[in-house]
Amino acid sequence: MIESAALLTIVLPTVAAVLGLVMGGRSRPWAGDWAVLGSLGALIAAVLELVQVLRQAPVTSIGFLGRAELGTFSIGLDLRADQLSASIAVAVGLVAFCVQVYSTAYLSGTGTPEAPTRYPAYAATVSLFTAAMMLVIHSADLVLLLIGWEAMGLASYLLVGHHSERASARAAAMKAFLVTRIGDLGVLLAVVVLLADARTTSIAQLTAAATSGELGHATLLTAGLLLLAGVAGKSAQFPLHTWLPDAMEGPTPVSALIHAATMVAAGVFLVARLLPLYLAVPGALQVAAVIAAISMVGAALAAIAQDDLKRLLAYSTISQVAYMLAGVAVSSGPDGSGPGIFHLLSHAAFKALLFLTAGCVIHLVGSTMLADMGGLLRTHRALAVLFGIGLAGLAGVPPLGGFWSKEAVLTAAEEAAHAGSWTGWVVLLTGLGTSLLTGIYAGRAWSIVALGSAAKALPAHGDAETEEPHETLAPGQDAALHATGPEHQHRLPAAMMLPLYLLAVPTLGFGLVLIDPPELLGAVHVDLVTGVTGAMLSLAGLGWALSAPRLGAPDIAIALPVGARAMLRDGFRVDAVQHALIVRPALGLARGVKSADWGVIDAYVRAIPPTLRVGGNLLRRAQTGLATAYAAWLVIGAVVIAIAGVGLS
Amino acid sequence: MIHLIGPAVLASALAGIGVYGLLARRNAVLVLIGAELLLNAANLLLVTAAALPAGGLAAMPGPGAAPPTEIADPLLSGQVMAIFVITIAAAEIGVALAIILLLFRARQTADLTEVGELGEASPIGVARAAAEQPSGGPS
Repeated sequence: MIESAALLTIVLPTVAAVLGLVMGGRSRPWAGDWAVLGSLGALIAAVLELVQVLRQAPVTSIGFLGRAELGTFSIGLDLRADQLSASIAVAVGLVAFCVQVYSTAYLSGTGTPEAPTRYPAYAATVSLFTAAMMLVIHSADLVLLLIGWEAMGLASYLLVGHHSERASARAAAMKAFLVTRIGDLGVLLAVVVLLADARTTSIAQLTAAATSGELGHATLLTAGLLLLAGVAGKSAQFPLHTWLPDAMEGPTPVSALIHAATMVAAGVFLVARLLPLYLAVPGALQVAAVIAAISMVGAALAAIAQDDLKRLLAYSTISQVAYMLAGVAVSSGPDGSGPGIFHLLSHAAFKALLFLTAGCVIHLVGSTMLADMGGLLRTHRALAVLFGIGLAGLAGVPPLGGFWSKEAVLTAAEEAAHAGSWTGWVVLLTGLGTSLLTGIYAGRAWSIVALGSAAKALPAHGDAETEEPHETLAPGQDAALHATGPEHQHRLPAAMMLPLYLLAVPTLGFGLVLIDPPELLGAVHVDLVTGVTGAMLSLAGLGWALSAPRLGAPDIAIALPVGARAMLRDGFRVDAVQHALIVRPALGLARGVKSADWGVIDAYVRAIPPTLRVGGNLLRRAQTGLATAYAAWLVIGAVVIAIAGVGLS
Repeated sequence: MIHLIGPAVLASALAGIGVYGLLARRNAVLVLIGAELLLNAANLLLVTAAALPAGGLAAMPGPGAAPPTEIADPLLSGQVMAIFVITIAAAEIGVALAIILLLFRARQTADLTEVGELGEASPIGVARAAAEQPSGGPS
């Protein structure tokens, strides 16, 4: 039962992806049905798996692709189902289902000429993305995990570059692919290192070997740090985070998928899955904690000054994923990943809600810029309230799910700090500081989008500057809605609103899980003092930002100096630094190689035609057409032979 | 027994006249005659060399001495080769005269400088074609 449920979570989205690609080109509704059914099936299978896993022991070896015989190694491409994989599978299934339902409305129609939508290919890629993430979380073997990991990179590349007519989308897709690729190389090398020493890539055997001390410290440290590079790439942590804000070029539901459940969660999941391996080398965990602390504060600061709603949410994702990573990094025992995973799950709910709500807002306004938004509370009250619920979850307002998970992470950090770990102090202090910053940017977003002035908001449907396709409604309906005038022009289709209500439930009530926590979350608890401190800080930030409209300026970021604001908006110019340090040398090297190839190797090849031409011109002069001249050559040849004969004899 | 100088000088004269005819004449028949003279110079040398005594030039007897009893090549291969050359020359004459005849029928001329079409691609041929162009079409 568990086995088949775990298999189905992977197989169903894969089937949906293949069917959607092969046959979806003919009919759009058909492609949509397949995609929605595939993700719904995956969700049901994941829920069944979770129910089973909560009752009985985890299954660590489910036959999937057989064994790969590689000479001296035999790699078992098996799956496993335990509480960690099942709980994340439910989150992935839920978010994927919501995204698929939402996309049927959001990407219907043909889009604008400069950004046409290709719904069947899009829906199939989302299904593929879901399947790849399911494969990653169910893998019992690092090699199989790596396959899913790479498939996810491919799917994210395709989805971010969905509007491939736009140069910025192409550049963002390429950047997302290349930056995460750097991290993926780390994962690949880590697999090689572990395989060389432990002679196995099975996660169960690796963790057992690491716990019993069979693996060398050097091997574990190398592998841990290399894996951490992959984690930083996929989860968008400090040095490799730059792809995530740019990935906002993709359609908004894709952002919801990437940020909430699939892509960025994979990195944290990997650390949690291999936690016994990390516990054997505290150095790698300390590095993880420092990376998480830097990402947490830096991204929160950058989020404050963003003038684009989607980029604001992207930076908030970096900051929240850093919380998860920090929660795992301060753990001291094999069950220490609980707080981080708890935050991952609650974050999946509220971040998906936030992105899908933001998609609705963008759909209404026709722009992603905060400056174009405002007055949502008056025009679309339900949407504004849902957006507020998502932001409250993000800021950690009690008693929402986000509050419990964030304070659980902070409590874990505090306990590590009192146990004498310096990383505990680092995480605790940055975490508390980030709570305040999170409150500020969450409040800022709400005060701009929901309160703000509605004068410039909601331009006429079909604005020329629209960045997102929003030919949502059937032509007749559209005309009828237009006829009602620009004031109350369009209601959102039900396919876009229902997923929001569905996601609002776990956002609001995820803390209830702590009443009877499963074994996975057994170590999760919230310390009263830490919890109250964190909540007070985030409420202070929220209140500060929300009070801005009453003081006359909806945007609290105006309070920042202009230079600092530009600096924060550009994400501390990490992009520029990376461009100068990595991109330009790499391009210079490429240019050098190209000129060497052209100037040296190709030169010989290119020299052949001119040489032949010169030689041909010379020889052509001998062909005069005069028989006497040919006879003269004969005589000259005879004389030369005679002279040579006399001279040589 | 005649002296060696006689046939050698005659062969040289024939060869020189033959080369002159080959290179300097414009009429195809005369060029052919030059080639024949060259062939006959070679024949003369072959026959002469075949008559040398055993031991070659060094064994040549002085003036008035008795002729050598033994010659260098008892099989007379020099004379045999001369016969071969005569045969081949006869065949060559037949083919060459036929070509010349056809050329004259086609062009009403046997002048070799008038039939340079095979050199059209060469700079000389191009220059000649350009020079002939104003004077009218091909005859």
